[in-house]
Amino acid sequence: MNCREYVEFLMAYVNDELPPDQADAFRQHISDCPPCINYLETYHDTLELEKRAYEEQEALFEEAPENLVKAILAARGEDKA
Amino acid sequence: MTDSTDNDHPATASLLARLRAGEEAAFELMVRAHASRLLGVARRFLPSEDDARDAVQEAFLAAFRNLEGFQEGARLSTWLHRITVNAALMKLRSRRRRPEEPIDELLPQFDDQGLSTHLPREWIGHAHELLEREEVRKFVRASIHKLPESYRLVLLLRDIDGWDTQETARRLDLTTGAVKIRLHRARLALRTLLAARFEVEAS
Ligand SMILES: [Zn+2]
Repeated sequence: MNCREYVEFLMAYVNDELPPDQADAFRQHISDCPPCINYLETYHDTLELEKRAYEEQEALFEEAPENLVKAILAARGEDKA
Repeated sequence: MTDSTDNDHPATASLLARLRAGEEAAFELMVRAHASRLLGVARRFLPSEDDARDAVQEAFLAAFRNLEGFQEGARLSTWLHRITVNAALMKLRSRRRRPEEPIDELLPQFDDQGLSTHLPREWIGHAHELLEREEVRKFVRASIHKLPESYRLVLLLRDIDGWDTQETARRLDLTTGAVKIRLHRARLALRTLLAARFEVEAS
């Protein structure tokens, strides 16, 4: 397996979807390719970063913006009419 | 996130009964309890604040018109989340589409032997260290926004909203194979964008 194939199979490997012989070839490749070790690590970092990127933003808005609530209630009135 | 903390208060069953009876106060209660979180959901898909608010408004009206579609036992928050995503996607679709930027240049490049032309280096910190700074979250969100739309949507639905491959495929009118390929490429492209900032200097 070369670096291109390694990257191609990365997601399947992470999801545990590779057949055993390909998973072996994948591990074999990392064992002597430091750049691909870096790639795998930073791929995991990417996943964690994207999954947590929106946390703070949502915590900021615990109370609904009053003008939005008013607009929705008004629209509901019109919707019924 | 479909499994996020439950803020279905008070008891969903009685709220639902009051909603179905058309009680105004119940509708207002539902709006107040969920609007801010749903606005956060809509903003992920719609960069314009006005569009995001419109989508939330449309979602509440759609939810109210379709109360019968709510399955007892499901969480109101999960149900509203899905309706909001749908409203946001509909709004995106109604926008005139510009031809999409290709994603290729954000994908890793290789030579004829299959070797990386840019050897990946370590990053200046691990994700949990980087996340201590709020500006990092902002940068990650901005980077997600730079992804071509058809890739960004798959990434948001699969990784952030927690939809499975089938549901994502159905909603975006794609095959499950296409969803998997796009998710793979979207993650690689996002990694490239993040690496530009977080990779250590070449020694
Ligand atoms: Zn390699």
